[in-house]
Amino acid sequence: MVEDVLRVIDLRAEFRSARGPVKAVDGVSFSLQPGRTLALVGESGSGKSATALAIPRLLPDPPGRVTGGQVLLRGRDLLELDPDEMPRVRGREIAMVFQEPASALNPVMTVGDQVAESVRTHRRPGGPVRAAVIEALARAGVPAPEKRLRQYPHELSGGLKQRVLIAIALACGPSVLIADEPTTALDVTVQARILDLLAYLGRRLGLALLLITHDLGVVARTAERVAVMYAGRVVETAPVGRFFRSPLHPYSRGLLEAARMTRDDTGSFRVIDGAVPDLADLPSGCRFHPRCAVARLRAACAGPPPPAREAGPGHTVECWYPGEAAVGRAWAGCARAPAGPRPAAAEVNSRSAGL
Amino acid sequence: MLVCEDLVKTYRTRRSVGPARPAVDGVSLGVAPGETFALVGESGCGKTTVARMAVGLLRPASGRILLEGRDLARMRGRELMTLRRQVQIVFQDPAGALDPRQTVGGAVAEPLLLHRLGGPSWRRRETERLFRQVGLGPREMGRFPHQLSGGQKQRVLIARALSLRPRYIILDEPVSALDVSVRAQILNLLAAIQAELGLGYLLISHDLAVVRNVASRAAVMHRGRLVEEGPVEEVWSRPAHPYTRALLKAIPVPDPALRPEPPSSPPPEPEADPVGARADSCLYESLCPRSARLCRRRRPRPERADHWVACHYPLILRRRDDPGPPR
Amino acid sequence: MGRGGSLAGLNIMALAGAGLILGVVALAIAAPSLAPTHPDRLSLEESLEPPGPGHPFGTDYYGRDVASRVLFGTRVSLAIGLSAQLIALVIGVVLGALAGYFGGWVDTVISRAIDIFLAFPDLLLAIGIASALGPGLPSILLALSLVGWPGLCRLVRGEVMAIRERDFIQAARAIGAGHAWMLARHVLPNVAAPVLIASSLGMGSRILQEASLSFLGLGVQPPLASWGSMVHYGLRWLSRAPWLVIFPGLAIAVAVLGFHLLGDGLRDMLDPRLRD
Ligand SMILES: Nc1ncnc2c1ncn2[C@@H]1O[C@H](COP(=O)(O)OP(=O)(O)O)[C@@H](O)[C@H]1O
Ligand code: SF4
Ligand code: SF4
Ligand SMILES: [Mg+2]
Repeated sequence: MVEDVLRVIDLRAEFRSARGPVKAVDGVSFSLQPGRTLALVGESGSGKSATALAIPRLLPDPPGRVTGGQVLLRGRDLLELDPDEMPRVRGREIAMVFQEPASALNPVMTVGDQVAESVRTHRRPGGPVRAAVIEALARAGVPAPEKRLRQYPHELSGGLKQRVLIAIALACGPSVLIADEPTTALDVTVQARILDLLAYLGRRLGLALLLITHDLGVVARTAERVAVMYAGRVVETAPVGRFFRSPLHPYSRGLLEAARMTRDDTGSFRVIDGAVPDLADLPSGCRFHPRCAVARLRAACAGPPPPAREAGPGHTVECWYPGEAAVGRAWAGCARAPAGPRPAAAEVNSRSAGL
Repeated sequence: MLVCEDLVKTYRTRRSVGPARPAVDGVSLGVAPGETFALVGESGCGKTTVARMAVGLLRPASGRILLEGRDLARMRGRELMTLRRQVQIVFQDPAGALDPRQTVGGAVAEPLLLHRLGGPSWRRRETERLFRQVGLGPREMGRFPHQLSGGQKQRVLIARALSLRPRYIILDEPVSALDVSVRAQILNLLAAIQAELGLGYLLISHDLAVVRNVASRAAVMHRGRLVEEGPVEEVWSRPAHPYTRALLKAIPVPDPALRPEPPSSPPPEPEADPVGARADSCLYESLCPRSARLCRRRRPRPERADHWVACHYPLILRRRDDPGPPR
Repeated sequence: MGRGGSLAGLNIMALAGAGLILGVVALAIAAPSLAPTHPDRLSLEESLEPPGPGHPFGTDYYGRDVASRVLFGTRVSLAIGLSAQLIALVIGVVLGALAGYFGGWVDTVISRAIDIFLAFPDLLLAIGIASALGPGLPSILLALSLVGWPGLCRLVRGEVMAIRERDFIQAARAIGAGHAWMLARHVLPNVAAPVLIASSLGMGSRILQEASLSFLGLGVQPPLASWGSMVHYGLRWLSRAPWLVIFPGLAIAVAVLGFHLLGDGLRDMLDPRLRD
C-alpha cells in the first residue's frame, strides 16, 4: 500500500447567501497517493471547485468558509496551520491549475517573467533562474522554450497557455497537484495532449494528482481512482476499472449511461430525471432520492441519509440499495454490444483507433 | 432542402496586414427535411460563422444559401421575412440567448407578435402549446431566465425557435453548455420534435459522441474548409482524412479499457498556427503525418461522392474505377 | 449585496434618498397650505427679522417670509431641475442609442460632439450658454440640458454597444426583428437601470447647477424665486441676516443629498456586478 500524501477527512465548507448557507462541501473524504491520479467527477454546482479551493485554503472568504473537517498533508492538518504559513505550503507542496488558462495568466507580463516569479519565490536565492525557467517550460512540453520567454500570453494558443500554467505550478516541485477542469476550455485534440502530459508528469515526478472534471471520458483516460460528487458529498469512490465495469450508486450509473449515450428500448437516450438540487435547500434523506429511479420503490431512501459503506476493495458507496436497478429497467450503461439502433460510440471508436 | 453553396466569409481584422485568410472558405452542404446533418470541428474553425450565414445573420462574401431552390441573398422585404421564418437557430449558451429583462413566456410569444400572427388570445394559447411541446408547464411562462435551470432555458429557446413553424433549425452547440444528465433530456426532446414535425437539423458541434449518436450525415471542418463528408457510420468507422482520424482518436471514451498507452516522454505541443500556410496548400499540412510535397503546393479538392474527402493521400483509397454516386 | 445594508431587499441608502426626495416634493406640492404667508407679501416694517415664532426662517429686507419663499422656491428649483434633466435624458438616450447601436459614422459624429461638450467644465459651460442667451427661464433650461446630455449619452452609448454584442440580440435578429423592434424591446429595457441611476444623480447636479447660475444672477429673475436666486439676493445681507442664505442653502443641500443617495443606492441595488 502506498502512503497517502494528502488525506481529506469529512471536509465541510459553505457559502453565505441570501437564501441561507449553501453547503457546497458537506462531509467530503478522500486521499491522494504519490504518482496516482484521483478524479473527482460531478456536474456543475456539485461542489468540486469548492473542494479544490478549500484544500489549500483558497476559498474566497467572504462568502466562503471552511466549517469543519481535516486536510492532512503528510499528517499535518492544513486547516489548523497559521495563515502565514499557507503561502509556503501552496506552491511548494500543493500547486493548482485552473480551467481558464486565458484568465490565469497575467496579460501584461511575459511568459518568462511569470514562470521566473514562481521559480524565484520557492527557490534558494542565487540559483540560475533563467535555466530553471527554461527547464520548467521544457518539462511541460512547451516547444522552443527559449523563444517563449519574451512572449506574452496572448501570443500563445490555449494549449500552450495551459502548459505554461502547468510549468508555473510545477516549478517548485510540489507533491500534490490540484487541476480543476484543466482541459474543459480546450479542444479535444489539445485536451488529449494535456491529459497525456499530466499523466506523464504525474508518474515521472511522483505527483499526487487531484483531477477535477465533469467528463467521464477524461476520467477513464487519465485516473486510477474516481470519486463521484453529488450535491456536496462524495457518493461513490472506486478504482477506475471497477467503477466503469460496475458502478453501484444510481447516480454514478446515470452519469455513465449519459456519457455513453445509451438508449432505452424506445430508442431514446436514457436520462436522469430532474435537475441538480439547490444546495441551500437540500432534500431530506438521501440527497439523490427525488431523482433516483430506485427510490420510487423504496421508502428507506427518504429516511435517514445512507452512510458510506464498503462495497469491495477500495470501493465505497453511499446508498441503501447499491447496484440495484429499478424494476423493469436493466442497467444498460455497460453494454458493449449495440444498445439501441446504433452501436455504442465506444465500440466504433475502438475500431477507428485501430486503423 | 436547405443548401449552402460554396460559402466564403472573411472577417476584417485590424491586426492583420494584407488579405486575411477566410474564416469560411468554400463550404457547401445540404440539409434535407427530417434529416440531421452535423458540422463538426474544433473551436474557431468557422462552424458558427456557417450557422450565422445559414440563418441570414451574416452575409456571405460569396456563395449562395438556397432554401427549396431559392436564393436567400436575392430576397428583400416581406418575401425575405417569410422565408426567414423557415430557418431558425438555437444558440449554444441558453443564458445569453435570452433577454434577462423579458419573461420566458414573452420570449416565446415574441416571434408571433413580431410577425403579427394571430390575436392576443391565440398567441397566448399558442405559447402555452409550445411550452407543453418542449416539456415545460404554463407556470414557467411568467418566469425570468435567471429563475430557470440551464436545461429549462434551452427548452424555452427551442420553443421559441419552433414558434414560427420553421422547416429547418440550426442547432449551434445546443447541449455544450449543459450537464451530461440534462444533455440526454434535450437530445431526446429534439429527436421527438424532429420525428413529429419532420424538421431538418443542421447540428453544429465539437462533441463527436453527440454527433455520432444523433446525426445521419456529418461534415468535418478544419480551419474554414470542409475536409471530409459522409454518412456518420462511414466517417466514424473509416475516416479518410488524417485530421478526422486525429479528431476521433482524441475523444476521451468513457471506458478505461480503451485508454491509450501512457506516453513515455512529454507529449509536445505542436507549434500554434503555421501562419505561413498558403491558400493553395493543405491547411492541415503542418500537423499531418502523411504530408508530402504535393500537399504544400496544391489545395486538395474533394471529388464529390457520398463519402468524400479533400486530401491528396487519404487513408482509404478509392478504386480508380469507382464512379461514386452522381454529383 | 451592496454597501449600506438592506431592508426587506431594498437598499437603505436608496430608501433614505427616496424619503428625502418625497419629503421635498410633498413640501413643494403642499406649499400653499404650509406657507405661513404669501411668499411675495411685502411687509416693510418686518424687514430682516430673525427666525422667530411668526417667521420660523425669519424675513428678508422687504419683510417677506423666508419660510414661505423657500417652500415656493422648492417648486421652482425642482421644476427647473426636472425639466432640464428630462430634456437631457431624451437627447442623451436617443443619440446614445443611435451611436451605440449603429456605430460607424453615426457613432463618430455623436462621439465627437460628446467629446467637445465634455471638454468644458460643466459649470463653465452652463455659465457660458446662460450668459450668451441672457438671463431667463428658457436660457437656464437650455444651458442645464446641454450640460447634462453628454454624460448620459456616453453612458447609453457604452451600454448599448455592450448589449449589441450579446447573444439575445442575435437571437432576436434570427426571428426577424428590425432595428426599431430591437431597440424598443431588447436594447432600451436593458439600459433602463443604469440610465435611472445616472438620472437620479443627474437631478442632484441639475439642482445644484441651477442654484449656481441663479446665485451668479444668471438664473431665474424676480419675482420668480428659486433657492439659488434666494441665496444670490441674501448674500448682500450675509453679516446682518445670515438666515437669508442658510435656509435656502440647506434646502439645496437636502435635495441634492436625496438624489445622490437615491442614485447610489439604486446603483448598489440594480447593478448586477455588485449583486451576490
Ligand atoms: N464565490 C461564491 N459565492 C457564493 N456561492 C458560490 C461561490 N462559488 C461557488 N458557489 C456555490 O457553491 C456550490 C458549488 O460550487 P462549485 O464548487 O463551483 O461546484 P462545481 O465546481 O462542482 O461546479 C454552487 O451552488 C455554487 O453556486
Ligand atoms: S439511497 Fe435510495 S435514493 Fe439514494 S441513491 Fe440509493 S437507492 Fe437512490
Ligand atoms: S492533403 Fe496531404 S497534408 Fe493534407 S491531410 Fe492530406 S495527406 Fe495530409
Ligand atoms: Mg467548477
